[in-house]
Amino acid sequence: MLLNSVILILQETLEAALLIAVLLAINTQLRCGHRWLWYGLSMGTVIAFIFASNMGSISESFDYAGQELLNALLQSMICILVAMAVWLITGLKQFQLTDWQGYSQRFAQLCSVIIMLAVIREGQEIILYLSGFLGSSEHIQTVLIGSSIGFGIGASIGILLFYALLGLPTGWKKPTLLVLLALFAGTMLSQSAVQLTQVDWIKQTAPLWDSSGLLAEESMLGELLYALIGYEARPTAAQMIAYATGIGLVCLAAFSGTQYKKHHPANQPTEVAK
Amino acid sequence: MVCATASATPVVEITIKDHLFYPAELILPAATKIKLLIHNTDPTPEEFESYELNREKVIVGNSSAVIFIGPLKSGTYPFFGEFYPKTAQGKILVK
Repeated sequence: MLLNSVILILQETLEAALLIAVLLAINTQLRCGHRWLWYGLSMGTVIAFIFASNMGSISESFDYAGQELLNALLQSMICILVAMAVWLITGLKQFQLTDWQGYSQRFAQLCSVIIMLAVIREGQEIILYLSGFLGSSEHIQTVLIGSSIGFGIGASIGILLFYALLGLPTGWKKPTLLVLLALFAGTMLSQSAVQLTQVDWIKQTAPLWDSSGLLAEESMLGELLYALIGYEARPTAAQMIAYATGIGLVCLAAFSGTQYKKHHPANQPTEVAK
Repeated sequence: MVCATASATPVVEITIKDHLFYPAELILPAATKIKLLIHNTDPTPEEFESYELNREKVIVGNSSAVIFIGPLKSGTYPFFGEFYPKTAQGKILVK
C-alpha cells in the first residue's frame, strides 16, 4: 500500500512538477516574480476539489464520455495557452526584460492559468485516490505517508530540472526552454487524442509501433519521459498527428512572435538594469 | 458475456467488488471494437488502467463507466485497478 501510494502520487505529481519547473525557469529569466505560481496552484486545487466531488455526474454526462471530454478540453486548452505564452516571449532581443508593453505581466498571467489547468487535471485524481482511504483507519496513515513521499520525490525532480535549466549556458537556455514547451504542448494534444479515442470520438487504429520491449512506459525512465516529452510505447496515428500539431502550433507561435516583434521595433523592451 | 446486436458495438460488462474484477479474465474476439461497461460496486473510487490497451479511467464508488477498446490483434492485454493494484488485476485474452 505504501509503495503503491508513492508511485501513484509520483506519477500524478511529476508532469505538473516538470511543467512548473520549465515555466518557473522562464519567469525567473524574465524576472516576472513568482506570485503567478501560487495563484495557479491554489485556484487549480480548489477547482480540482469541485470536479473531484462531482466526478460521478461528470463521468456519466455525454453518454459516459464526460470525464474524457473534460480531460481533453483541459489538455487542449493547456496546449493553446502554451503556444500563446511562446508567442509573447519569442523575438525579444534580450531574454531578460522589464515590463514590455505589459507582456511580462501577461506572460505571468498565462502561466498562472496553465498551472491552474494542469493542477485541475492531475489534482482531481489525487483527491479521488486519497478520498477512498478517508474512512479506512487501517490504511489512511500508510497512504498519507506514501503520498507525501511520492509528492516529495516529484517536487524534488521538478526542483532539479529548474536548477539544471537555469544552469545551462546562456545560448542554450532559451532554445532548450522553447523546445521543452513545444514537446509539452505536443504531449498535451496527444493525450487529449487518447482521451477521445477511449470514448470512441476518435476511431481506434492499431498502434504505429510497440517499443515497450525497448522502454516500458511503466519503468522509471518510461514514466519520466512520459511526463517530460510524452513518451508512449504504443502510439496510434491520431496521437502522432495530435503530437505533431501541438509542436507545430508552438513553432508557428514562435515564428509569428518573432516576426511581429521584428516589424514593431519601437516596441522592443528595455534591458533590465543590473 | 458478450452481448451484441447486428449493428451495435458489443458490450462487455465488468464488475469491481471488494477491489477485485469480476470476471478477472475475459475472452474477446480479435479485430472487433468492444464497449466495456465497468460497474464499480465498491464505495471507494478505482482507476481502470492498462498500458497494453492504452486506457486509463477513474471510476468513482457505486457508479459505472464506459471504455471503448479495440479492434485488437490476438494476444493478452492485462489490466489493473491503479488504486488497489495488489488485488484488482485482470486480463483480456483476444483470440
